Amino acid sequence: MKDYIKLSFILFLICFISAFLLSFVNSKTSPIKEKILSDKEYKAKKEVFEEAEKFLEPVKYKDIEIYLCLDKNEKEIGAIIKAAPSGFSGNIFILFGINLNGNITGLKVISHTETPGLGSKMEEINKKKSEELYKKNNLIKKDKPWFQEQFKNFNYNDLIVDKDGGKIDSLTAATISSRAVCNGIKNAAKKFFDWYKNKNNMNNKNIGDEEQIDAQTSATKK
Amino acid sequence: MTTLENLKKGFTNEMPLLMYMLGFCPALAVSTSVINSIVMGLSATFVLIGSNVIISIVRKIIPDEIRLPSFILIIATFVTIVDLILGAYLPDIHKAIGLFIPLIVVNCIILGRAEAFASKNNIFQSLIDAISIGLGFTLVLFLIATIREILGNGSFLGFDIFGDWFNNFFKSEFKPVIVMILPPGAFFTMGFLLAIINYFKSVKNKKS
Repeated sequence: MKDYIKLSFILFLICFISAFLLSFVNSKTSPIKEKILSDKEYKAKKEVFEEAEKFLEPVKYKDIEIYLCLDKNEKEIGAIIKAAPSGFSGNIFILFGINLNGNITGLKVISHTETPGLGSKMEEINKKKSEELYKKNNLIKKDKPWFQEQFKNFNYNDLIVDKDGGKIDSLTAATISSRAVCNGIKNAAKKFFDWYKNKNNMNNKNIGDEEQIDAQTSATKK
Repeated sequence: MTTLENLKKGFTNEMPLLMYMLGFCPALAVSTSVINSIVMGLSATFVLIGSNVIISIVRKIIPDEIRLPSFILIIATFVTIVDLILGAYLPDIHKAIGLFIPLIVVNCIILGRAEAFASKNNIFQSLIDAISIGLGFTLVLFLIATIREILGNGSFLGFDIFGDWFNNFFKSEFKPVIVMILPPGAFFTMGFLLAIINYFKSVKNKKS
């Protein structure tokens, strides 16, 4: 009996020390990690929607997050959508911009757990491949991952990988990952337009009121 | 065993991967590119050094009955530290091999060294043992990854090595052998390396 107490005490002691050590390391590294993530996200937003000047606070709708984008004149020109379609192994977190015509303005994969060397090539930079794609679509930037760049200016309805007869070049030996990204964008875009229509219908009722208030306030100012 | 012998063994007759077939899981999984393999090897070496030293220090305090759980706890602590540090300072590489870092906990090389060496020897010898075995493991990982990346992707450390000169020389483009970066490629590479090693072993045996 005494033995058991001694044994569990020693194990407890080891656990205690290791937990203490880990919490120390975590407190040092987690702010750096968070900063990396938030920096990456702002940069990514600007990259996927260059024309946008201002990004509104995110709105959650079903399983996507929507950041409405405004241009210089505070007019709505589109949205950036965060979605997480499931890939070959785990979810692929993507961020893409879409304008009100349904054309993709840019795509960025934020994080994924696809197979290293295959699905992970969605982040590969390949000059030759980019050059090839540039001939078809001159919006492609050659110093960015070609797989993500090729989505630019595609209508969300036309996103089909080449294996299924579409025009999106899939990743070699990673068709499932490529297909997951295409379908993820398609579904998220559909959800966004649902949401956007609803929102506008709601607003049309309210806009009248707002204009009245504006008129009133300007009148009182005068 | 002298210190020098201790230092050399990880590269010669006690090379964990090629001699004992230990630690296959990370070797097969992360050896798709050279940079991943180096980071993986060095991470494992760090964990090995940490766990070997600590286990050697506490070897007389820990009772025999709870030896294994204690070792695993110590190893897991170091692995988590590596995981956190990589995530903060090398986010890109962490993203690529992050899946396999936690698996270092169950890497048989590390528990094997703890059980077979660190729990029986003093701190200094355990440290040397960890460095030797760890770097030996890294070296083999590097070798496998070099072969696989060059053949499977046509690059080394991310640089394209079959560029224009290959085009001019062979009048055709280099087409990577994709199977080499797929799981079977790891087995092929491993098989060939083992065949070479065994050949030299048998030659040596005949001579003696």
